[in-house]
Parts: sequence; C-alpha cells; structure tokens
Amino acid sequence: VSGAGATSGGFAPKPFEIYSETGGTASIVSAQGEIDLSTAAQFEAAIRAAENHNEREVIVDLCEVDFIDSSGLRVLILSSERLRDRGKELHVVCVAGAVRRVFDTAAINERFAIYESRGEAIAAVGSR
Amino acid sequence: VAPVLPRHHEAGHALETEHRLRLEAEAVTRTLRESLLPATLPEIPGAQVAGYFEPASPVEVGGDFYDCFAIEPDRWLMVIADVTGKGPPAAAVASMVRYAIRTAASAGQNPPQVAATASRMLHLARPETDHRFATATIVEASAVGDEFNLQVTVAGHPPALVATGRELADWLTVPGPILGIDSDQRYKSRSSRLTSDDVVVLYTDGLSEARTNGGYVGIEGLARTLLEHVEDPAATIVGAVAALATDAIRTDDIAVLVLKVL
Repeated sequence: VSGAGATSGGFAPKPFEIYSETGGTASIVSAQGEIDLSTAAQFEAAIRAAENHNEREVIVDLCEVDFIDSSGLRVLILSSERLRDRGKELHVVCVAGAVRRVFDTAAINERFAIYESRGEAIAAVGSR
Repeated sequence: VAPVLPRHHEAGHALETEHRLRLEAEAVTRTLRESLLPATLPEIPGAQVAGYFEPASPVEVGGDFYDCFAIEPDRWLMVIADVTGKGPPAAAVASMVRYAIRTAASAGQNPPQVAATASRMLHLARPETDHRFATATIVEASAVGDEFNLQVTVAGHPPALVATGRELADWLTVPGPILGIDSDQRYKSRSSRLTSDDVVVLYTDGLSEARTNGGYVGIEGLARTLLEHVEDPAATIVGAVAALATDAIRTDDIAVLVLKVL
C-alpha cells in the first residue's frame, strides 16, 4: 500500500497528523497535512499544551504541512499573542510552498520568528 | 392493547414537531445567508457583474460573502471576504464586516481606508467575535469613458485574476494584513485600468483549495477556466468557475464575483 487513502489515479492529501516532542529547551509541535477548519482545533490544542510546559519556548514545525487556511493562521496569531504576553515568541519552521504563499498574502511574516529548518530553530532558541 | 394507539400518536406528533423545527431552522439559515448577499447586483453601464455563493453544505451558513454596490453614479465598490470559521457565529461576523465596509465606503473612504476601518472594527469586537479575523479584497471601480479604473486593496486575501483579451494579464494583489489582528493596521492600494473585454475574478479560497481527482483546483485551474470562458458573459464565467468546485471535495464556502467590461 502506497500511503493511506491513495487510490489509483485519485488525489488524496496527506492525512492530518500532529506530533509533540521536546528538543533542547523547546517544546516542538509538528503538523502534517492540511491545517484548516476541520483540523485547526487539534492544532490549537497541541500548541496550548506545548505552551503549558513551564519555561519552554514553542517551536511549530510546518515542514510537512501542505496547506494552511485562515483558521490555521488564526491559531498561529493567537498563540504568538499569548506567548508574547509571557515575554516569549512563537518560532515557526518551514514556511514554504503553499504555506509561504498564504503567509505572504496575509502579510503576517513579521509576527513570528521564522526558520528554514528545525535545527536552526532549536539553535536559535537555545541561545536565547 | 391500549398503549399501542397513543404511542403511535405520540410518534406522529414528535415527527411533526421535528419537521416544523427543521423548517424553522432552515428559514433562519436562509435569512442569515440572504443578509450576507446583495439582493440584486447594481447595473453598471458598460460592464457586467455576476456573483455566486455556495455554503459548505446546503444546511449551513458560513463566513464567505461577496458584495457590490454603487458609491456614486459612476463609482462602485466590489468586495469579496472570508471570515474565519463557519456556522452562524462566522455569518454574524461576516455581516458586521460587510456593513463596516459599506458604511466606510459610503462615508467617502477609499479602499485602503475602508480596509483600515473594517480592521479596527473587527479588532475592537475581538472579545465578542471569539477573535475571528477576516480576509478581504476591496476593489473600487470608476468609469472613465468606456474604461474602468480599479483601485485595489487586499487584506490577506488570495490574488484576484484579471484577463485581458485571451490572456491572463495579472494577479491583482498588494500585500496587506488580515483584518482585525491589531488596532491600527495600514493598507495600500494599487491601480489598474480595464478596457473592453477585460475580466476580473474575485474568489475565496474555498474555490481555489477545493480538491478534485486531479488535485487542488488551484489558482492555475481558475486561470485556465477563466481563459476558456473569457469571451462569455459574466454570468457564464461565474458559473464555469464555480463549477470547478461543485463536484469537488470541499469543506468550505465558495464565493465568486466577476466584473466584465463590455
């Protein structure tokens, strides 16, 4: 079987998955698939859980995300506001492809610390 | 034996009540949906305008809307917008945004000022709206002889398409933030001139992100369909573009607004 949901000649996006882990001094939330109205609540719950790890920075890894809509952006914006209130920042990894287009269109890049790779984000967070 | 008849009666009564409640709910949904769309589109001499809206599912309302109205006898405002989320709460916020835009434009504000006003209104309402944001494209079209001048402001919304002749001429875009995040958001505009046979298509991401068997509809798919129908009337173009998503797998509303210069 070549990937869940794949049908011959059909088109099936990656199923939505979300993983949480720690790396260095940061809590890392990585998502896969599409962040839209149907998955935004799960995404938000994972980020909130990561925020609640005391003293930790939060890194959101979007490397495997195919698309993010305005409900996904809302989660990122509200999370960055909550973190800013606590003197922290939301670190976002891999704003590329379709996600980059949405970020650029929304003109919200400057609201987040954006990194090319997870390693870069962890190094930046470690040096804070 | 005695309980059988009353029980049947009760079941029938419950079904009737359920039916009545469903009709009432549908009427509320319909009213809410109608409050988000213009009852009629304005007559624009020398141009055609057509709009299309379809909610994510027939029994739902959502946060997408389009609007088009005359500001002055030779000036019109075209709007497409998408409020985060769906259902009655999103529709209520969409209605707020729609009337904030109408009010600001009627008071003589230009598109960047209109966007700033709508953004400030939405920001002030954040506690009541559960922090919903909105994306929008606001286009002012002014008649200049046989041609139209467009002034376009974008608030985090996907780029509008412009076709001139049989070619895709432009993506009407200018960076501007999503409405409602900060208290004092600034917007820019860009100008564009439309001449005979030019077409502008405004849409929401429910259309561009709808999935078909071949993949996402995408802005490329939209552009292809626009070019195939560029010589058709505005109403046909709207129908053809919207049809891209009607068979697709989608979870979002679709709104489309087309202006064609004759």
